[in-house]
Amino acid sequence: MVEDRAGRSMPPWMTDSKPTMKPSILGLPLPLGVHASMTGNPFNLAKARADAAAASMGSRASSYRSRRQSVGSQMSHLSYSSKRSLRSMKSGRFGRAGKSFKMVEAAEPDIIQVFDEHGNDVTPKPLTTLRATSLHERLLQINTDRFSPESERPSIYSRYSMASSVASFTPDTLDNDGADREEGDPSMMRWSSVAIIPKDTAHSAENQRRIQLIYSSIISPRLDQDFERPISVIITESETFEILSLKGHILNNTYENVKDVLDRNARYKKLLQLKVGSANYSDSSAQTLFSLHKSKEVQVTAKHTETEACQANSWDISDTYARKQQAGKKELPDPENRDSIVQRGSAIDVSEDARISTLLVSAGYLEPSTSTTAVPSTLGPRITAGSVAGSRRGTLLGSAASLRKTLYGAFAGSRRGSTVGSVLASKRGSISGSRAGSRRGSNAGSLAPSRKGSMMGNISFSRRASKAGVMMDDPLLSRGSLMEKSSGVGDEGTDALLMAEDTACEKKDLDLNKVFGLLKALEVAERALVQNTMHDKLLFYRDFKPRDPEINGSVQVTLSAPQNEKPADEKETVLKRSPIAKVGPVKQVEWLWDFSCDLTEGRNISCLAWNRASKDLLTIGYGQFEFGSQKDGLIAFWSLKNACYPHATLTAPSGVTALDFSTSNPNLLAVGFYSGNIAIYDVRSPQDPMPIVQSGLSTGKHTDPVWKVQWIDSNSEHGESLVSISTDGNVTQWFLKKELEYVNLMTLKRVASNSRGAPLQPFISRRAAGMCFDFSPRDSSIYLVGTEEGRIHKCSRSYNEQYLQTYVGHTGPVFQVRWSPFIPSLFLSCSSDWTVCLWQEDKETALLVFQSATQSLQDLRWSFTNACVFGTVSDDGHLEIWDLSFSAVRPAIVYEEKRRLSCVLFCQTSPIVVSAGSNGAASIFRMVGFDCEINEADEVQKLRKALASNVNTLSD
Amino acid sequence: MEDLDAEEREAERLLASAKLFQRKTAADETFKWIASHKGVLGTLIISSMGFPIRSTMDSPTTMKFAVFLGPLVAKAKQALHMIHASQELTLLRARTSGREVIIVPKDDFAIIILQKASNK
Repeated sequence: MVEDRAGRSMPPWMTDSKPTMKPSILGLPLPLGVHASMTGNPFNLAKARADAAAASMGSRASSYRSRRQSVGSQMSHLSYSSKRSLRSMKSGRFGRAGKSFKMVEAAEPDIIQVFDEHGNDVTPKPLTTLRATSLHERLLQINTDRFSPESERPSIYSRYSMASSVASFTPDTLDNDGADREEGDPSMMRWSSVAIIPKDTAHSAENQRRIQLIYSSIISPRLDQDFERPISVIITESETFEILSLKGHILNNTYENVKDVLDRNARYKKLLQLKVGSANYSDSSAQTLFSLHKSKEVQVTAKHTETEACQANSWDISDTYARKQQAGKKELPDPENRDSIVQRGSAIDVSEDARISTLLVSAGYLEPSTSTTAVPSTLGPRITAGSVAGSRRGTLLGSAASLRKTLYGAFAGSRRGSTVGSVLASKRGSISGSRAGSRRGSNAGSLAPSRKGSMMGNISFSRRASKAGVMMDDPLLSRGSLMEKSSGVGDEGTDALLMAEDTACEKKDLDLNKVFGLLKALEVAERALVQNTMHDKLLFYRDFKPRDPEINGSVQVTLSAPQNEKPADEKETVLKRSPIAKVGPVKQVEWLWDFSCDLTEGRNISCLAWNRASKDLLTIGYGQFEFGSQKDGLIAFWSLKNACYPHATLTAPSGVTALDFSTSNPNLLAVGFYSGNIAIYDVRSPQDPMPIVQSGLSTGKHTDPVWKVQWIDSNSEHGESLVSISTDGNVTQWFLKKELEYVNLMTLKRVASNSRGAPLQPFISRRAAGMCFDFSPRDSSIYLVGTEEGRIHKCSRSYNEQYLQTYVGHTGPVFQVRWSPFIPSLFLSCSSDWTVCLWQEDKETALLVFQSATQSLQDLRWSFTNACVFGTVSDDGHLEIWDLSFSAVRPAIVYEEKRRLSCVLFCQTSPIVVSAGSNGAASIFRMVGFDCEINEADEVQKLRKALASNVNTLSD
Repeated sequence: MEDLDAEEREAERLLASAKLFQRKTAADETFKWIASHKGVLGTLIISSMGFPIRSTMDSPTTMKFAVFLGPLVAKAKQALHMIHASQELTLLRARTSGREVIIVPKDDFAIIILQKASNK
């Protein structure tokens, strides 16, 4: 503050603009410090100060050091006042500030200081303190002896406790505050500032850790020295503040009111107990309105990303390095080598053309006449340790170069069995052998390395085998022994083995794709493998009871049905008696496996379907639901035989959203796409990615995503026809003729909402978006349609103008509606309003409303076997299995997953439920504890009984 | 030293290109995929003559399997052919207490998988 003790204010600006200022390195905002260098432009300087001052009234103090580091964070009174003095119109405010100071000064004598026995100042600090900033070396010397801290300290307390707000809870970095004010020569004051100056430690014991706050005049020279001088800052721990502290009370027994307290405790306990079983307290969740978001879209070019992944085996790596070394050698201008490379290339062509056996024949192994010549010459360079090869290698390579054009002829010749051909073939063999021997072409395109390796293996084996006396009539073994003989030197068998170890890991460049039937065989092998690893799970899936180890070997076999039913029934009766207590142990789902692989990763599963004929073939459609994240679609056929990899896949140009297999022709798969197209595939040839027929612009198509397709057997001469529904508001029937032809069964119209009082508003679109439909199992001309506005309409194929009936109850889009397979007048619907409703055909309001999820329900299915059981999946990853015979209030099972679930499917043949969702994996769960009656009528009876206990007015 | 670095870089580049190439070959991918299954100790493809074409095991083991199992496959094929001339052998399993060998024999080759068996 440019203000002396008497309250005189002096305009600091006059002194500010002296040319002694140095140009600023730091720029704006300027520190208000003493020796930070300032720019030469006085206006900038003043503006910077003004900015800093305006930032906060409560000025933040910090140490000299920190001010140097973070320039913009501090301000001092100086700046405040200088700003005001700069703009004279604000002098009124300045005067006010001056007044407050005076008031403070009057209050100074009231401040109390506390000292402990060692003389340390332990005066409680005000909650809001201010650390003013900056100091100056010279001031330090000037001021320390001029002002006594005792007289000045109170002033800083009172003054800054009023002014500061921001810095109120910053920890005290310094133990004591002192205040000092520059009263010296005004000419010394270029700028003045509030500064904390650590006092010289040599002064006195009392002053040792004191800081003085001063109004310092600022002298600009000697900057360099100032910065070099070390500055010490003492940092101490701050006090602990307790915001809230609740302490438990412990009363002595002799306390007179102890009985009241005990009574109160007992009452509270009782209240807590009441809450558990009481009807007055129940956990329930409620749906609240979503907060409105306003989304803004910006168009940018899509980022092109690509992901590549691969597995590398040790032999891949070793091969690549070997190839690299080879490539290094290729650089040499060696005509012989170059020839051999070219020759190798031709050998590759040959090997690609021929099948393995042919190769072997042509290499001279199968024909007895050539084998005698071929074998020694092949092994010559390698095994006979140069006795032959030393001289022959070079010549052979040379001849290889000259012979490379005749090699095809050589193959032909050997096949014909002519002697010339066999000689040529044997030469070829020797060429490859010598190449291997020279280690240049270790995996050189032909069969050489492994032949070599196996030969050596044969040798070593036959050496051992002859000792062990194994039969020698096997052609392989006898040839091995022959080779051993031909190699001559016995000790080299071990050498050969070592070399074989070098080379046997090397892969040949034989293209496995050219091997006929290999993929099929690999598939068989993989199935055998997976069946081994998943044996127990598959048994569990099939509901085969694992053999009980305790009665193992006894006569009783527990596989017969009646014996099994009994304990299950007992369980059931126990359940009915105490429905709440026995949830966990009896009814549960057990995760078996996931149908997922690298192809399906990152895709959203949109639909599931079993094939009607082969009931273990699960077909999964993959497609994104969101408009913004569309990519190509995929259909995968998963078989139980291999749960790790799909049996076949089909790719589609658009996301798949609906699937259904035909019943009369189980090979026909109808697919609905996000693009609104419908296609029918013949799954007998899944390698062919083209559908038999598909809708298009010429045939007509939906203009919005297709949400469900279903084959309907209408008993007409057309056979089965296909029905689809889309958000464009059409329910369409498709006939499979030369191409797809369609008839619109119903165009869904919006129904005016009948909320009282609200004036009817005109619709923007008159169409209602259809989300789902289901044909009645009793009458194939009656169907239900669920719409986005929350209505369910009953329609008939005979009338395409109006609804037969409308069911009102849902407040969100109806995502699925399904008739009960047991009682044909009942149906269930699920919606994004978190609820499942059970309806009866002739009642317009729901019989029962089930709610346990707290997210929108995506799919719903009745169990095929158990009339009371249905399953739902929700957006937040809950798979819920409801059993009406068990409870109509809460689901029998809730299985939580951390993904969005979109579909659920029960299995017709096994107690299995499949749930699938956003991560591309379809999880298979085995349901335990859901036993069903053998007789269908009993099941119906069970459902009726369960409903009668929950619904008052159940008509037939 | 520079040469060495350059060589290494070149090797990495080759490795990367090899990866890209192998991704295109379905049979190789499948072969590796099988090798990565749970409990698989090694896989091997041998030609009809008993020479290994691909293997994930070290060479002595590979040789052992190729040499001993090759004749076994031939014998089994022949035996089955003798019993049922029209039937073809598609799968051969041999199980010991801790291991199982799965063999898929074909005319031109045979796939051999050594798997750890989960015996109780």
